[in-house]
Amino acid sequence: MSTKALWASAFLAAAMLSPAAAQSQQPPVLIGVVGDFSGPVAPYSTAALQGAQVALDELNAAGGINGQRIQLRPYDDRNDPVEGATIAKRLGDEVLSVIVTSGSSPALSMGPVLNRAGLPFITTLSSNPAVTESGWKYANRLHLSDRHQIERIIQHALDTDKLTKIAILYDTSDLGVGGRNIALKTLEKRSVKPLVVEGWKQTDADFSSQLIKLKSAGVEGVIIWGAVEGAVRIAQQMRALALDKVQIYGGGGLVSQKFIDLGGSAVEGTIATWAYLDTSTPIVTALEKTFESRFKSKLDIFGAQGYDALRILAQAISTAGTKPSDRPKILEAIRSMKYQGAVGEITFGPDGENIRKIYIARLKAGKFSVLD
Amino acid sequence: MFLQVILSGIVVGGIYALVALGFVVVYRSVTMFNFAQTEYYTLGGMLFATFLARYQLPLVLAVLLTMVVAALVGILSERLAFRRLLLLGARPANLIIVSLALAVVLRSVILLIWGTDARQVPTLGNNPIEIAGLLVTPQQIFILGSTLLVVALLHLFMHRTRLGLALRATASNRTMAGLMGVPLTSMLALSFALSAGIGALGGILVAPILLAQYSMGQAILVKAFAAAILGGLSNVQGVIVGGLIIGLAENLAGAYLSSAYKDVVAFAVLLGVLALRPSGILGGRTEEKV
Amino acid sequence: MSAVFEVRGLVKRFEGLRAVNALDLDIPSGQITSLIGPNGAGKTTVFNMLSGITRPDAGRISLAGQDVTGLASWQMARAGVCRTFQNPRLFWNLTVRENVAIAIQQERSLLREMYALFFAGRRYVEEAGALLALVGLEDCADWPASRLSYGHMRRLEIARALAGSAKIIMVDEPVAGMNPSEVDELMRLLDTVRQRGLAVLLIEHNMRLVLNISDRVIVLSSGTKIAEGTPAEIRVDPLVIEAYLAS
Repeated sequence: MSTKALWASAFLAAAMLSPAAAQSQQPPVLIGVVGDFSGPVAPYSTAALQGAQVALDELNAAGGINGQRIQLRPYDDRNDPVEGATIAKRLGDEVLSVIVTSGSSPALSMGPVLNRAGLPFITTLSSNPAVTESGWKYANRLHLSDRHQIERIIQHALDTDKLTKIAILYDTSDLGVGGRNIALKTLEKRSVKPLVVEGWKQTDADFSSQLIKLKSAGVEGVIIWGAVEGAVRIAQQMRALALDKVQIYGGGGLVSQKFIDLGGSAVEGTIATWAYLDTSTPIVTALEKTFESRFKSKLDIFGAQGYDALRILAQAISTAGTKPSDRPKILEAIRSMKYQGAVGEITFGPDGENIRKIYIARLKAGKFSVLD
Repeated sequence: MFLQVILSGIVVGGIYALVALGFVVVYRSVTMFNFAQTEYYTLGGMLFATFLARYQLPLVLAVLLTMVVAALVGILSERLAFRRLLLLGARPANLIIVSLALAVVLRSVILLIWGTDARQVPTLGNNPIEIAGLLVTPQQIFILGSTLLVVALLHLFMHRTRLGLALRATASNRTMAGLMGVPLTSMLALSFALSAGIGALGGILVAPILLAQYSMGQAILVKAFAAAILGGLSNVQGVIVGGLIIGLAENLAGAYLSSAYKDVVAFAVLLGVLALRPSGILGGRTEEKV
Repeated sequence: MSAVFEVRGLVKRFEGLRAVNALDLDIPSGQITSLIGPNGAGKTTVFNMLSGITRPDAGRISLAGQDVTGLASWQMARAGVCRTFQNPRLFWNLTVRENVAIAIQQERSLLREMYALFFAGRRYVEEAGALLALVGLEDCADWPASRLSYGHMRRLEIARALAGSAKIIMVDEPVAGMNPSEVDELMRLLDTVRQRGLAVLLIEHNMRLVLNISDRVIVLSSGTKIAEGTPAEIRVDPLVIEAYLAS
């Protein structure tokens, strides 16, 4: 077992035993937190759980929900969609509402099950548009969706950078193909025809045939939608073909230390959407301090979204009620609230999609900073 | 554009050929496919990344050390996984299963040591030089040069030295080679050391442009395998031709059809060639008179 | 004449059957010793044990005074034992010259092998050429061995057996399928080998050849030695006559 997994399980145990003391004799309000606490996505899920934990203690210290204390129940899906669906089946009987900190694949397997059970849930990690576009009435997202990110980055490329010669490169995973389809539709709405649309497999080593097309088409900007490693290889091979003047556009996945470290000078200048966490607000500053002292870790957007997710649920439950039969009202409350939290001002659309400002960042001198 | 496509096809083909060469070296001496071959390639990439980036070794030393360590792993694989089976004359199917198992073991060890993260490896140069309208990077020149050098050295080794002769004799008839005083076990170890060393060199060469990652071997396995088959399996020059054909076919398909057809066309070419020439393009007689 | 091979109490069982039973042999150098006997007498089994292909179940083999019992074939070869087979076994896709060069004594240590690898490559080629001249194959030195005629394949086998530091050459039915002139050719060649002071051990069914060329003849029947002597003695030995008549 890796150290990471050890910490995660120790943390799980601590969370379950959470002695937020018997504030009252009333049964607690139970909130499920599903996520990958021992697999590849564990760092993100764990950060979100930690954020929720901080929110939980604050809420309970302030008297819980109308005097009823809140309790978190973590569930580990190990990033496995089958495990996720199995967990989802139990949740209707075990908790009032759910925070899903899982990766896209288990999140999408849980979605229909939670929806059928009529459990209002908030996802905090998946960017897959399907979360809010599959007709799951009870789904809500507190993260950037690929659709919003792509619409935003295309808007930036066309309107701010004033480019017209655009190419799309996508990897042939669900994520990449989904992104391509959204990008094509978005460009079509703007009456821009992409000059090159080419895919790559995640195992692909050589991108020259795709890139040579970019070169002969005289492309000015390329939207790269896929895994970080692929994007890095593309950037490096673009340089080898003297395509370094072509602007690279990408999604939030690229805004990571990994992308910067792997890509080096080849990815310099990359412009991407960013789930930006404004660290100048008092609420974030306080949260950062708590994370530092309590978990010895740096607060990131996922921790902040976990924090906000529980506060949103608590606020909704406090107006709607704590009985299972109150769940439709809880959903209604989520959709109608205007929430001001760690990640800024959030409202939810009728489809459960969060509506918030999507920042654009540019990589300059080895560091991403907000451009717009 | 056409020439640029051809050039990158040649570079990619060179890498396929280099990895395929490892297949061939082992196939020639023991008539089996070692599917763990591409794991030596992965190992090469990972070790090289570690030696260069982590321990800051000079380039030449890092290359040599990587190849030596990989060769030792090759020898170990022969000693621990294959020797008993080979000496007992196990059936090819059994050897293939063992080699698949070995591949899984090596991949797991690589995962344990390095994890799933990709690693960046400094290149010899990624800024293109223009030669007659063609863009070439120093790293690409290095890849092609090294491939050619290795092929030439391997050819010289096989045909101009005693050890090479002993290897070829073992490949031709193992019992007889023993009767001639060629120690079979050393020859087996030597074949595996050579193939692992060559495989690792492949990893060293591509790591700077493709990133070193535990999955890089799996990604290249099928292509290198195809190159080896296409080349006729027993012939060094054939492998080069095989690698180039696969590399060119997929690059031309990617550039003039769509990148979605890269693999399809590469394998269609493989199937077509095998239909016309079942023993590969330069596949010689593999007869074994009684 | 000192014995190159001294074999005492050699036993080999196959599924309970004694293929070779408590056999004693002395093979002297500079002589041609023939091993004859009806089919299934165990002649090839003896060859296989002496060349390290099969391990004996019991008994002791010494080569020039050294115990070599149970060594592997390549170790036997390095100790100076060479053999041919009933059907020529060559490296078909190597050249004629390479077929001989491979048999020239390998270096004993890795260090010396590495040295030879870089500096002594030519030496082997020249030595191989000389041996090919001896057996009259110098003109086809660069052919692949598979192109040789049957008689030439036999000669190549002998040249190969002569390579390096062979002390004994074991020849298994060399003239099977040869025409009379090829047989004469081969007899002359074996004589040359004998004159070079090597021991020759021959398995042969052709009695004319055996009785003409041999210095000593050993007769095996059902894995047991039933007679030993000069060709003249063997010709009149009643046990030998009976064994051959019985089969």
